Amino acid sequence: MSGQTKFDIIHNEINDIDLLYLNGFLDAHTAPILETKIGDLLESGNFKIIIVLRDLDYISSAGLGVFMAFIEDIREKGGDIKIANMKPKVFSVFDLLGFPMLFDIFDDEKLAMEKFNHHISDCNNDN
Amino acid sequence: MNINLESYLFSGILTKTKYKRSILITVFMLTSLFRIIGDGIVYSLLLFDSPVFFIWQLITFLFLSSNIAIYFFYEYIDNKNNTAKNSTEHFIVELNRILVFSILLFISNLLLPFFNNQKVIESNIFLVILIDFIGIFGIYLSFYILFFLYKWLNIYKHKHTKIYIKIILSGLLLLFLFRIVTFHISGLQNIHSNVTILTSIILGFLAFLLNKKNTWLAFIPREQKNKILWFSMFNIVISLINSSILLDQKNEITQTMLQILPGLDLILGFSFIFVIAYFSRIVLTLIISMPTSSILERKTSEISSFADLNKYVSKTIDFNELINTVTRLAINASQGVAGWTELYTKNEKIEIVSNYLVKENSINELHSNKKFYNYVKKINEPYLIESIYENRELVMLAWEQLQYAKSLIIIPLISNNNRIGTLVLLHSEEYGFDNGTLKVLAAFSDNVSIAIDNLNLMKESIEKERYKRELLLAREIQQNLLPRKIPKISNCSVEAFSIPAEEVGGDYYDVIKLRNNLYCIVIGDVSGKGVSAAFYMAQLKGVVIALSNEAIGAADLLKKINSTLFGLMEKQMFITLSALVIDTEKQKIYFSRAGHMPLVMKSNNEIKLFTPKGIGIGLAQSSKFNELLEEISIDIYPGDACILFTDGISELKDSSQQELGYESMKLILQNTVYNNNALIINQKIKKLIDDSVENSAYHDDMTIVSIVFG
Repeated sequence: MSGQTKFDIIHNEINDIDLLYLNGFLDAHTAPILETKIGDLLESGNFKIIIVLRDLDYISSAGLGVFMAFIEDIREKGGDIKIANMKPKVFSVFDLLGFPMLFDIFDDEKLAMEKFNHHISDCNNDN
Repeated sequence: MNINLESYLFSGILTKTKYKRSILITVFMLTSLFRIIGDGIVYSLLLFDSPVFFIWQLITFLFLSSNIAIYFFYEYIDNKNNTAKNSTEHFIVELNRILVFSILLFISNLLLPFFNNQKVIESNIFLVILIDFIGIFGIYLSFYILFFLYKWLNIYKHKHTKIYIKIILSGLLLLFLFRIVTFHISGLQNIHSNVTILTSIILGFLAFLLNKKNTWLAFIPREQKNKILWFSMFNIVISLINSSILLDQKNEITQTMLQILPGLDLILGFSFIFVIAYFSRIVLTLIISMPTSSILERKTSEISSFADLNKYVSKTIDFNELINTVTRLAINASQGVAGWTELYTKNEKIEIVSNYLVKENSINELHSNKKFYNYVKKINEPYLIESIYENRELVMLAWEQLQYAKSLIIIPLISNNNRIGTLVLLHSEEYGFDNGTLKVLAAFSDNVSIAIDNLNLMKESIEKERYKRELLLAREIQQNLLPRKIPKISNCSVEAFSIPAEEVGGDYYDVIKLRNNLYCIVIGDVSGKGVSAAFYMAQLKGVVIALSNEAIGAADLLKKINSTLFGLMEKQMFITLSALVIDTEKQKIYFSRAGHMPLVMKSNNEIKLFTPKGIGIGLAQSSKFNELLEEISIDIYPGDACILFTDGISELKDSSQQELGYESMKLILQNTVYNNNALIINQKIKKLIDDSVENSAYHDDMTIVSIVFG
């Protein structure tokens, strides 16, 4: 296992929002780890996910594919995957692909959390 | 001394003659005839006591001896490399001949006392001739024995062999000379016999020491051992008798023979002494090795079974053949009575693949409940069950059809750390198996595991080769999916190349004509690499070609493509695509980008990067995709150039491990004098790739389309 394919996830739960802090390189080798993690969260009924990319050094198309794989299901169930705190190089990859137009991307995970709460209060207000 | 003599004669003139054997025999016959005629003359002239007669006898004796000696010598050299003549079987044949000849000599010696009288000898010419024949036969026998011993002592020689032989031969020669010199001096007869006895003891002892390397006797089959033992003992007895007769000067027989053939007693007598010495050692070795010989035989058969298995380990490429051989060899090695090999499939089913002297039905009967299987599964190493009846677990199983089985050995078969089966060996006696056998079987079963692993590796390797060939074929086919020749667009130079990261890849480019008759250059990148990306690439090409007739512009084409492909792709798959429409009439290009790399362009000598908005194909359905896709138009001037590329290039690393990004391509466009030839730009880019590829362990598919506007 070379340094290139080192990757791990730190999971934090605040209220009913799951924060996943990604570390290292997200490529074809390590994408299954993220895939399994998000899959597990979905199975246990957690649909509010914030993925924090502060310590992510690299993302490949396989990594981006993981986001795409779950997003439709999660949004159908009323949840979302929000992305926070990207390194500039990583952001440029997202940007070229047009992800900012498909996902909420924030500078900070707190802003992302606020967005989840606002959404709830919005829903409540509508009622 | 002997080796040199051998090589000297070997290269000598006589060996070059094909007929040397015939020459020797002829000479021998003539000499014998000469001798007999001569004796006849002497007899009729009554010259027995004259010195002339003695000299005559000596010379003819020496001549005959040398003749026979040379004959045997050539036989020895000729047969040195003849394996049939150097086998144990032939040893027994030669041993037999010595015995028979010695007995013949003994019998003929018994006849002589009847004619013991000097007067009788002198009065009967036929007697003289008879004694001549006996004497010549004696010379032949001596040399037969001496060469027999020389040959076999050399086959099984040790470090002192050469020296001892030299000493013995020198000793004999000295004794012989001594004899010749002192023969007619009557006073020295006593000393003579003492010297002879002393010499025979010393030389006999040396001969005994010579025969040290006898271990070969331990490994021959029992029948041969018995034959050698008995024939050797008879030989010793007859040689004792013969040698004591011959070397006893006072003996009348000897006296008689000496009259006729002086020196014969020495050469023949000592031959028999050597026979005694040599064969005593053989008998001693055989008797000592008798008790352990059955154990040795068994060990030998175990080792040869083991050696057979090792041969098969490297040779067999068929699994069933291997298992059959292993079962058979294991039964042999353990001296078992019957056995079988069973293999376990994934769902714990038991398959009997090879059975010897035991019926499959009987084995299935044993397996009728899961108990035998469960018992056997727990055993991880070759295990001996001395008595089935004394084993609580086994005795309750269904042995009805295997009633003869009283003890068994279980050998687990393991491949790749998985238990794949069991080899079961049966014996018809309780405690019938040897404990020592288990160790051999443990090593045996390790080798079997290795053999099975090797077979699997070979199978995998063959499969891999097949996959490699398939991939290379796929590469060829994919090459044909890219434009073989780029159509000529007026006032433009368009050149392109594509390098997949593996045998096949996900990059795509094409030059198509749209509905409005304008040329459109398309470049794209399917997410991922390798075979799966290649499949999507092929599908993409089909879609692009099909839609090109419908599309009226760059953005339009991309929207139609997304509309077609969105529902067809897996959720995590997406394609980045750019389309560049060239309108030479209006001197404009129209560029649209669906999540793909920006356009690097030299426009009016200025290097620019164009990144119109747009998301990748397959990420969102038409409504969103279409809404977010932008198309820009750029004026073109002669001398302008642009590069369309995939991220394989921009992600290459430089020598300080930094990604190249777009900077290198910008620089190439800026600094290259391309003279309306896009090929020159591509050459520069190829060089850039060559310089950078070594800096990273891996890279993505790389594609470049360069356009120079004239």
